[in-house]
Amino acid sequence: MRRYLPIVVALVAVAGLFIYVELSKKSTSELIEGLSRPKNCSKPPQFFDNPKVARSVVIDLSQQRFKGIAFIHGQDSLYSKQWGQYGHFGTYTLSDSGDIYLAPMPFISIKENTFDLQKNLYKLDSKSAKLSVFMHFDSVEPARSNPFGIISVLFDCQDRSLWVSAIDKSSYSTQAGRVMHVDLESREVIDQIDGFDAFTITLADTDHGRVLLAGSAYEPSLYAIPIDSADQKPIKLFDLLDSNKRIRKIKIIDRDKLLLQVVDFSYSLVAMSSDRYREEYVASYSGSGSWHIGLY
Amino acid sequence: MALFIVIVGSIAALIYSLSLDNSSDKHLSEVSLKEQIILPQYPPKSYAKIDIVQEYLQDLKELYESNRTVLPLRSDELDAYAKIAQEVILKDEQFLADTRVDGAIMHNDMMSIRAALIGSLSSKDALLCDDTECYEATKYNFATDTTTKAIVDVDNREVLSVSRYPSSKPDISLRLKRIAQAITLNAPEIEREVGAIKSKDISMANVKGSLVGSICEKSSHLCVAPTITDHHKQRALWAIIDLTDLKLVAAKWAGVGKSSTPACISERVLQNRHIMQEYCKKETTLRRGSWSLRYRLTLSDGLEVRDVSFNGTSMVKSAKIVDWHVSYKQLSSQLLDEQTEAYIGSRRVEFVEVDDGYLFGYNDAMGCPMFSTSVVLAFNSPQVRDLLDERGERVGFYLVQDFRNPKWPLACNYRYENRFLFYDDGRFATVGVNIGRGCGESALYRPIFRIDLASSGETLHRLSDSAILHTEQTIRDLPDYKTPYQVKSDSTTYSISLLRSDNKINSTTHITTFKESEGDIDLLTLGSCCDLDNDGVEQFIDTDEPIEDMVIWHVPRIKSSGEESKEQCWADTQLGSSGNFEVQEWPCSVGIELIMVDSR
Repeated sequence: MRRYLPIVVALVAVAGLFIYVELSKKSTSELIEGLSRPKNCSKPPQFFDNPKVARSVVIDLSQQRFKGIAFIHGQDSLYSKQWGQYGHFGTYTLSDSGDIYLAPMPFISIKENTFDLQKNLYKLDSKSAKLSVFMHFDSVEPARSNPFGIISVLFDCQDRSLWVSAIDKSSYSTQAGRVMHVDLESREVIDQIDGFDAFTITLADTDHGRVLLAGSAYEPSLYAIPIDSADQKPIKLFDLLDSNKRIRKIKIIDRDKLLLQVVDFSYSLVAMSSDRYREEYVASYSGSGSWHIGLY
Repeated sequence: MALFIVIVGSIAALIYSLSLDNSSDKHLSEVSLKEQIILPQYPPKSYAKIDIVQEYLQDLKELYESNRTVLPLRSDELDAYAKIAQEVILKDEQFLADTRVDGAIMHNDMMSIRAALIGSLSSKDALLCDDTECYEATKYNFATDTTTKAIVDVDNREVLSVSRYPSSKPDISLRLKRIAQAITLNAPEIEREVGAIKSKDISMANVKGSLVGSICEKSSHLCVAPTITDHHKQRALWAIIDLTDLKLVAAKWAGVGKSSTPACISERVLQNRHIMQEYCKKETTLRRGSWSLRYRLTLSDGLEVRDVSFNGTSMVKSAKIVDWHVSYKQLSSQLLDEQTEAYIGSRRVEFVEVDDGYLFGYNDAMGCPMFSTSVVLAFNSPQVRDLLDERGERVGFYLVQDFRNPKWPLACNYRYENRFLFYDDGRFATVGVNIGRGCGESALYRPIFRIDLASSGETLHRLSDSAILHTEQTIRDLPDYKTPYQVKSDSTTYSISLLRSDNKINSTTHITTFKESEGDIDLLTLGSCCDLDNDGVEQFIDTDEPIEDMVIWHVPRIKSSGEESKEQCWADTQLGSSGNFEVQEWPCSVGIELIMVDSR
């Protein structure tokens, strides 16, 4: 019997290894179980209190009629030339005090200051309606071979912080983007996830803690980053079938259900920004790591 | 024994865990693998010569001539009931309702007629089909990218229901499957790859009505991916065949069992990868006849040729088109609202006030399709083709690169070609071709050509007044002079001719002395789209600076027209005789030619 002991031990060891791998797989699917929208704390800017501005306002970053940011209410629009001085914006987030934080975007032509503008995060003040540079990132380095810099921003209601992503320095063969966690008060980067190009980010609650959902700029894929965990490695949830598409906007519309806005993107300049160049998909999580993706 | 189990088990566990790994690292490792991508090198009409394609096109022609609209399935794809179903369905008005537009016939093929499965029947049809033989008939409208399905009660020769699915593709007919395979096997690009393989077979996954559009660049086209497997080397060649245009669009080699579904590959993805690897990351050397040169795709200055020499004599260090300025005119400045930006289509534009209104537009940079500052992107790879004269005789060769906005020829999408012409007699020309379509029916285009001559110590001799120009300056080209200048150096004399498809002269020439930062490396957007008094090159000109090493900048102006029968620099989509929507092109071209008249 004793002569078989090493074989039994070896078999147990191999079985243990398989169980470990299987558990790792399970933990990946568990990561997003109970996916739901976190409590929203965003408030409209205080300058909306002007009686001339209707209650229903659309934030316009389409760069079609206005450079920078504009607000459309009914047939009217609210725009200040000062809001166009920093070029074009790609995404925004609203804070709990009505401030709007904006991420830049290069558009059609490169001008002398285009690269510099991509190194900043911008803030439209809730009270004064003044647009200013909120943070400048020296480490962000747009270039001819990748004109993009700061690309996405998200306000975190839980600790009044910002999540900011940058995709500069990435090349055809290397993904070098960063997701930065920024303290709103000190304006300092308190944490950073390296080597991942997040084209868009949104926060989600799950049964096992909070995750940052991120659409990759590098692949047609959605990732989840377990931000409460010590290992904040992005984990792929699924690929879109069309390899040319990138997820540009993620909205949690129901438990385990996401609305995804996708666009063509290849790290060259963006020429088309209107809705007709975007497609919308609904992604539903059906458990065990399985997703169903369909047109919205 | 125990050690063996541990080793084998560990390897198995490792392989298993790697197969589960969803991290971005996996993507990176895949990207870094060298891919073998094949892009088409021959015009699509060459496929029409293949017997099975020829027969198909002839059947379509006869169909349209007999004023019928749907190409029926042939009897080898139908059982006895399906033949009855086809007879019934091709007389049904509702089924045929979407086969014409303004009386013109659109390309429609029957794709399948099969016994209806319970899962494909509505509860009402299911009830009716309970006691009778029901068949499901499927057709595809190539022009509108719409699938139509009908349930036919064969016993009673009655159509029970008709449903249409826009932007949806069906499983293709056996005939189209054979056509796709024939195009694959007869494409010279594929033949070169697989011709010598003895142990090979061809297979093809059917097209499912998918949500992802098409694997072709044109998402409304019906495309399939036949696979040729090389059993000996354990690899497979995936081809993408466009069944709407009946042509090969791309192909790639992959390991057997890798990239195992057509959804993993698409025309654009393969094109972009191939262009990036072969033309954006490295230069290509070309030697043909007496010519020798290198070429590369730039980040925003289009296709660039470098170190061009003829019969061993260096001629040009660099030639390229760095930008296309596009401007549109709006009369009456009353419309100008200084508070808001102007826009047209979905593109924001800048504008400049002029006496009787204002000009608005933008600067289009051409270049690499990924990781670049271009907005009009390289489409397919650079091609080398024979240069023919008016009589069709070969007089040299040319190098051409196509640049497109992805949605061309939709409004506000652009398409340009960079051509470099190498004549057997030593002439060299750089030509910009504009194929529209732009945002409005009348646009003013200003391509900016940059030619850095290989000689040094050059002077420009203006033939109109015999002036010798040896400092940096701007010259307005005179309409009566199609060959207005000679460039002379100690070693060579070149005549410079201005080329235009409309035979008018409306251009400016700038001469500067070589500086690396002034365009030898990629230039960002140069100047304003709409300041017609300034091409953007002026910033490099110091009129006191003598020219030691001449760079010639040529900026022609050419107007587009979308007006009927006066089309120029324009493209439009129309229903063609094939029954498909076809792009009609009215290209215009401008350029500059160097003729060596003396070499010492």
